[in-house]
Amino acid sequence: MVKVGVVTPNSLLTKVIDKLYDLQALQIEEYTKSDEFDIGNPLVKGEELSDTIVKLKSIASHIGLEFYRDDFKRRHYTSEQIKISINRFYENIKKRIDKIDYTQKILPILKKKTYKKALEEIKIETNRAKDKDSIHFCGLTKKDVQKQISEISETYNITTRDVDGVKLTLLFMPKSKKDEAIEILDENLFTPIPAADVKKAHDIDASYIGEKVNLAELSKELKSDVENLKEYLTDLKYQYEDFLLNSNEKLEEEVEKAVSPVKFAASKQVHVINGWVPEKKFNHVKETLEDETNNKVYVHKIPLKKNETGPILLKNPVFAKPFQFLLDLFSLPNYSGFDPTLLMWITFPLFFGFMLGDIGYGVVTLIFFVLMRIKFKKGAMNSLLNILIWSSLGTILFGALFGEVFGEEVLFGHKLPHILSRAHQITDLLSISLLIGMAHLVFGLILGFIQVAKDHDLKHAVEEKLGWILLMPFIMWLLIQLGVITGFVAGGIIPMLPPPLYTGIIAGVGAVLIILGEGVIGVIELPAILSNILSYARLMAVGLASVELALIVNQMAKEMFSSGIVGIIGGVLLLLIGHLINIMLGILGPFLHSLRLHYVEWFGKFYEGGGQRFMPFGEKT
Amino acid sequence: MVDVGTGLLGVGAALSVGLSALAAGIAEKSIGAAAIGAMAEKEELFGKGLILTVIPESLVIFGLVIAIMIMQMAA
Repeated sequence: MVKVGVVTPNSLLTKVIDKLYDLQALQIEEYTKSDEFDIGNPLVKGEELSDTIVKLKSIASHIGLEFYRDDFKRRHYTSEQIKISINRFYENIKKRIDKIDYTQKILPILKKKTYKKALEEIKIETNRAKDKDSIHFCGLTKKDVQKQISEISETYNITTRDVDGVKLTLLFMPKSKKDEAIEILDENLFTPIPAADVKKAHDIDASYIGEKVNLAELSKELKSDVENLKEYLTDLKYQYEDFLLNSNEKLEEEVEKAVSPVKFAASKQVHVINGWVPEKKFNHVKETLEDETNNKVYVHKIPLKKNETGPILLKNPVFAKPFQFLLDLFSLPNYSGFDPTLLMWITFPLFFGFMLGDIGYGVVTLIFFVLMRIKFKKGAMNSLLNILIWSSLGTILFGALFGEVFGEEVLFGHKLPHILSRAHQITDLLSISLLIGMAHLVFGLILGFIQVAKDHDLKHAVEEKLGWILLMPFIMWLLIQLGVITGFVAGGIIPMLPPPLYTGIIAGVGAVLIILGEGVIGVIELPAILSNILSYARLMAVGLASVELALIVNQMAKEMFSSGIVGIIGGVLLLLIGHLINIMLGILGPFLHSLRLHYVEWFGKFYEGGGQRFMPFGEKT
Repeated sequence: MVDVGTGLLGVGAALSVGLSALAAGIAEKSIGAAAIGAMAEKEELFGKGLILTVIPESLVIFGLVIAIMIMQMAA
């Protein structure tokens, strides 16, 4: 990473922001206000856009569209196009949604005739009501229409009452103004109530242009209206889904751009953008910005202060990339730290496979995870599934080495070839696990040695890491003497160990180095390396539990098979359920334990976390 | 039938695993609860929470190793 400063005249600011956004190569470092420079103001277009965004979100919530999706066809729209279309869309949809809301309110009112009480309360002038030149309306409206009516006619009489969130309106109009009145009422979603009810309450004939209203039919009609409207909205959703999703993406992008100047330093003439760019991309960024602005923008490297470090961008081959997820989960390596992703790509699936180690389980989980991956094409879940796919391959590999299929070592009368039988050679399995552990830890210590030598000096590296490595032969000797490492593993190692006296001397030197390096705490820490190594016994323990469980399920099923048809059905069910549970445990257990061995035992030897992730401006999260 | 001595070795092995598992369980209970609490506030603490929670697990492993050593005596 290099620290970069971009100085741009204010007139070119928008252009520079656009370009930087597209480049996705610069992580902006926020500027804090000082005496020399103020911070920038958001671009003006931001405010207009946020209005459109509010409308867009409102549309989405009404038609049931969710924005988390990522699988839509990308099209290009300008923000002006989007603004106009969204506004129109919003007006269009708003009317319909109002109508749905209103109809759903009045349906129960019409059904239970809750308007009756309000109707009786209305006082009317009987004279006017009997006037032959007058037309009477009585019904429910969305809101009070008096103001609108007063605009079209000087003579009128209107009374309104609230009924459960809508208005009961009784209106007398001169016959000559009938059409205009109907227009206003329609606009306010006027729904007439039965003339009989009006007659009963006030002895007048008042109804929408004199029609007789049948409540049952009206309700039915209203209900089907609502259904149609809802259907229309659903249709809209499918029809304009792509447009809306594209708009959302574009608008969010524009807003991000519009608010970005608050992170810049600003004066009356220029804006200064400070940030981090990967070293390799610096020239590209510089050239692009300069070309785009006819060399009116000044891009330069800023020398780092002491101990100042930039964000972290991990680089790994495609196949190992998913394993970066495991580092994200923990803590990214610090700036000068070693990135163990590639090594974890090897060891993680191997540990996982060593624990689950079964061809049958491996194939089942492999198929399951490959199918799952079709659904999760991106993000953390995809990484996790890729890790599990590699782990399934490890499981199949070790399944072959152990000669196990669903816990069985014998298939159709043939014994599967194997190098080690887990169910029977428990102590050998333990010895091998500890040996793997020791190798893994020594490897970690070597990495730590290199790291310390690089960060500090060789003296520190020798004291802090070499001491522990020198202890290893002694620990090996100790474990053999204690009878923890036995069998052919012990037989193979003993000739390789130096004589006990020398082992002791080497360990003594190691201990002295550790105490020199870490002080008195080093003495207390000495047994910790033994506990670290013994921790790898879980490689055996977890695997053994999984094998034994599988064997028990198989054994029980076999016994059931010999007792008739019911027994066979029960046996098959038992096999399915038993192995399903065992597979689920067999994914969870080995995953967590493999992770733990890496995080606690291995990382403890060399890893230093605390790095900040590189998040370039314009990157979508 | 096995003799009393072998039987006692078996009991010893069982106690070794059983008691250490119990101890690990008690230890992990408190740490796990605190770790979940911390994660609820700050999700990034998952890695650290996991590590702290599984540290006492080594107790069971030690118990298991001892049990295996005892069982070897019995065999």
